[in-house]
Amino acid sequence: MEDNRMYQPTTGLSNEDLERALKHVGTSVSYPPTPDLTIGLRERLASRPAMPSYWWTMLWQPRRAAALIIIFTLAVAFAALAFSPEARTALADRLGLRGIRIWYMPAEPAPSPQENNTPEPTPALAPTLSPMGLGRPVSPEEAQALVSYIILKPTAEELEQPDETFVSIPPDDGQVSFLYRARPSLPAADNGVALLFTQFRGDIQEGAIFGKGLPQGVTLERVMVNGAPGFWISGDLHFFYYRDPSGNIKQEQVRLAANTLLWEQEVLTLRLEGHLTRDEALRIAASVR
Amino acid sequence: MEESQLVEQAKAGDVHAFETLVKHYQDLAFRVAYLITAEPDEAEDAAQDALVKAYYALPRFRIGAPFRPWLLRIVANEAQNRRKAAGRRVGLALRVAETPGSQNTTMPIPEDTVLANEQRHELLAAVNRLREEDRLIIAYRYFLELTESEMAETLRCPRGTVKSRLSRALSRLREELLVAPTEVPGGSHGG
Repeated sequence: MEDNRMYQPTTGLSNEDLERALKHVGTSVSYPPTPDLTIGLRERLASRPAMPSYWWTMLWQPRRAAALIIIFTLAVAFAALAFSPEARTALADRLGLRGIRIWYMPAEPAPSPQENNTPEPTPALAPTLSPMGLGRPVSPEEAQALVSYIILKPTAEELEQPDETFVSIPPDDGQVSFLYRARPSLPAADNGVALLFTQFRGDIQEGAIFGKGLPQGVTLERVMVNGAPGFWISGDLHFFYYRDPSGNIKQEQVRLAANTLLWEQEVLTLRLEGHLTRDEALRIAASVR
Repeated sequence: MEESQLVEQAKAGDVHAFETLVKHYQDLAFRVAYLITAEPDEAEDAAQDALVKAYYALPRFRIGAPFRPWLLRIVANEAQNRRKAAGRRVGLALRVAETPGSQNTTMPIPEDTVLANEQRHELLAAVNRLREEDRLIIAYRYFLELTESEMAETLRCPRGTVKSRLSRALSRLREELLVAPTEVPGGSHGG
C-alpha cells in the first residue's frame, strides 16, 4: 500500500511520539504464520501420564506443602524428644557442635511406585511426600513434563533405570532426584539407598558453596567432570549453597550421610550421593547425558 | 465462557478447555517464542513443548491470577532454554509487512499515529540493531502490547526493573536512530 504521508526523521520524535510510533510499527511487523498449536498438543498430551489428583493439587501448592512439611517435621521432632532419651541426647550434641539443626533420615526409602495393570490411580500420583524431602514421586516422563530444563541421567548400564524418581518444587524450575537401590556393583547403605542423583538449575561458586567453611571431618577435592570443574566431598556434608537462575544464593540439603560429587553441567548443578569411591563417582558422572 | 472457568476446567483435566485457552493465546505464544528463537520451526517446537508443560503445571496455577503472563512465562522460558541448548546467538531481523496492519489487526490505528512507510522501516531497522534483551523488551511492550505487570511476570523480574530496562532500551534505540538514521529503503519489505 502506498503511503503518501510526508517522511519525517524518527530522530526528531518526542518520547511520547516514539512510543506511539513503536506501537504502530508493531501492527505492521511481519511474523511467520502461527501454526495450529492444538494439533500437536493433543498428540503430545496423549502420550503423557494422567493429571494429578485433586488432593495432590491441593497439597502441591508450594505454601501448603511447606506448611505441611513444617508441621510434620515439628510433630516428629516433638514426638522424638518426648519419647526418646537418645533423641534428646542427639539434639544436645547437635546444639553443641553445629548449632540448631535437626536431622531426619528415614530407615527405609519411600516405597517405589508399583507397576499396576489396573486403571486404579497409581501410587506415583498419591498425595505423599518422600520421607527424605525429595518431593513428589513421579515417573521419569512426568518429571520431564514438570521441569523447565532437559533432565540429565547417568547412562552407565546399571543406572539407566532409576528405582524411583522425585520432583520437588521449589526451586521454581524444579529439582529432579533419581534414587537407586543396590546394584551388583553398588551396595546399598543401611537405609536401602545406594545412590542418589539430583539436579536443578543453578550454579555453584567455589568461594560460597560451603558458607563459612567445611564442617569438621569433611574434606574437599577439586575434580574435572565432563570438562567442567566439580568438587569431590568426602565425609558427612549436610548442606551447601548454590546460586539460582535469578542470582539468589540458596541453601541445599544433602540427603545421604555419604560422599558427594558436585558439579555443573549445561545449565544445571548436579549431585551424586552415595557410599562411592571418588573414582566410582567420576565414572558414573562421566556417563551423565 | 470466562477465561477463569476455562482455567478451572483445564486444571481439573479438561483437555478441551485447555485447547480453547491455547487457541486464544497461540498467536501470542508463538510470537514470543519466535522473538526469542528467531526460527519459525524452533518457535513452534518451543511453544508446543511449553504448552504441554503448562498443562502439567496447571495444578500449581493459582486461580484468580492472570493466566496470559503465566503461560507466556513458560513459553519464554522454554524458548530460551532451547536457544541456549542450541548454543547460538539470535540473528532476528523483524520486517515490515506488505500491508500495514495486516499482521495484527486487534489494535485500531488512529489516523494521527499512522507513520510514513520510510519511518516504519527506519524504526524497525533500528530495533533490529539493538542487542537482544533491549529488542525483546521493546517487542514485548510495543509490538505484543504486554502490560508492564505482564512483562514482569514473563521476564521474572520486579515491575520496577521492567520500567528501568524499558527506559534504557528506549534510550539505546534513540542512540541507534541517531547513529544510522539515513538508510531508508525505497521498496516495500515483505515478511
